[in-house]
Amino acid sequence: MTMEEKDSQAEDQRQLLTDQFRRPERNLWKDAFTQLIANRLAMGSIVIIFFVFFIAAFGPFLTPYDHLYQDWDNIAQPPTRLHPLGTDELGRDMLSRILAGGRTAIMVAVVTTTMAFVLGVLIGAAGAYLGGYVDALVVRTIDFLQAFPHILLAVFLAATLKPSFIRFGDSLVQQYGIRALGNTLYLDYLLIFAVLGITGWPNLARLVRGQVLSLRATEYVSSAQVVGAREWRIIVHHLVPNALGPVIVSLSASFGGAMLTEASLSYLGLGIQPPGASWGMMIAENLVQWRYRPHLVVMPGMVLFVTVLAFTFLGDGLNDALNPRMLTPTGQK
Amino acid sequence: MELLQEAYWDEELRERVRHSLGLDRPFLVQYGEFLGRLMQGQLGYSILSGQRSINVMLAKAWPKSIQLGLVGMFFWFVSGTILGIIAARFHNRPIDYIIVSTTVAVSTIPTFVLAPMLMIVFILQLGWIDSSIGWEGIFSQKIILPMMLIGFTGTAGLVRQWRSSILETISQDYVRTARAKGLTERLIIVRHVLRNAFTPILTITAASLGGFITGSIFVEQIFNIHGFGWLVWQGIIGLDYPVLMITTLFSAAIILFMNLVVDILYGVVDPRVRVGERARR
Repeated sequence: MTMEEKDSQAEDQRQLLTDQFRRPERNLWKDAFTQLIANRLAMGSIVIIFFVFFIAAFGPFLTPYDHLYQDWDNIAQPPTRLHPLGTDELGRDMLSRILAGGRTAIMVAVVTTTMAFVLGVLIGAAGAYLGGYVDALVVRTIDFLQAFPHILLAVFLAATLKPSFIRFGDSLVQQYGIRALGNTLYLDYLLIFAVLGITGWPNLARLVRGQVLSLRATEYVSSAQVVGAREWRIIVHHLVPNALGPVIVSLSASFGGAMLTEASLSYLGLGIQPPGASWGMMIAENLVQWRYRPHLVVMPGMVLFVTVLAFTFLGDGLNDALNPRMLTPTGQK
Repeated sequence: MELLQEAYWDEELRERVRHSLGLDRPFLVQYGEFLGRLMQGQLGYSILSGQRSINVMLAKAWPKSIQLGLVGMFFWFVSGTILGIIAARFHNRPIDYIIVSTTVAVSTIPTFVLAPMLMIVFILQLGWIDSSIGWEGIFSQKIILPMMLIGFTGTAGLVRQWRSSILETISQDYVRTARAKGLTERLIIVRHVLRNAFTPILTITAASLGGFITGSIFVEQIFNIHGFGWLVWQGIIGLDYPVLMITTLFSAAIILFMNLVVDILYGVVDPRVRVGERARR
């Protein structure tokens, strides 16, 4: 055995010893992750949410029928082998329609949450940073929008914006010959995105503004300023990591909320129009015959309920994991 | 109002209607007139139901909605308070866990999903209620389901609030003193804990009000109760913009007003709020 080999062997042994006695590295994200894994309710919710996303992505390949296909031989059937969840009064397969509705719900939730996130962070941060008139304007606008009951404001916007959207679509078809926009289904989606985008951002903007203001007053930001850190460095290294927890929690909640508002709007007849598929609209369509065919109302209702509940419990779990100071009652501790 | 242009009428009729609705004047003038009439208490006319005055429609709709709302709030408060106290009493035990997650689950269900499900259970399966469609005053069995539905929307919030504020109060020094004096558990809870835990409940009451109003839209539509929420629903399906505008404005006004009332009530319930005011003087 040469000297070098001996040396490297000793080095290895030393490494082994330090590895043995070193405590595992800990940071907020790792802690949060372990805590989330331990939360059974949140893990169950994640499984459900992944399942719904999977359905939204691959639903059309899984369904036995197109969600608009009418089976004239089997109208308003209870669940059978041919149609696992039965058919509605127009002979459309319920399973296929529920899967298609899931696609609508997820798409609306993803797009509008993204819009709310971008708008909320930009506007909230602008208010906190620019101060003065801009801040006053931001706060007043948020107050104004939050004075209305959430769904009622969405209903009002949807009802008043609708004709202009239809006119907009018509004019696009006439000017540029874009056939797709003549299909009002796409316009329905655009309308819902616009409405939920407008009503969705104030919550997040208020949160981000508060976070930035309170974090900028902390000692570590002041010390960073004293040692001469650039503003950009403070934002990236101090503000963003510390504000991220509450923002993620709020996003999870707004995801479920967006689904719920879309379903409510569609239920009231302002969202996705027939023959498109939306859980809210399916409930409204079948509600008239709840006495005779209750399963047609119960199934989309249960699916909507379970999905929204999963987002609520995931939000609570994330809250327990990321904001240890504010525990929710469902978090076991 | 410009939105009404969509229709395809002949020119003369169209001009006449435009004039009668004030659409031939500039936008700002129209808005000014709208505000002026609003200040005088004239809420305008419904387009859909043959030019009926919205004042009359609201006057007819209010009594039912207020009765329904009060009954619903009563149910909300009683059920939320009882469950909240039980959850705090048995805190971190299975009962607490079951109560909190069940109320969260029930409050998460949208009204238009819960309503048919309750109807199916209570009317079809159990047969306890014959029918709950329609309005026959608050002493009829038809009120039960609407009352529960309006109450359930905010139960989780109330239970959470009661639970956390009771738990916080219980760990205060004066409660320990009361225990040390040898008071019965019942007396401690009623006199020392509940009274002091009540202040945050006012906040949640104001915050739940929006939920009650939006809840009433769905409840009144499903159960065919011709109140405020039904008016909103009529406005939506007929795209009756004046009605929609007034109802939206009204519910915002109610919420702002109730927030003010709650702010004043803080001073009544919690003397510390007033002390701060006097100290400043």
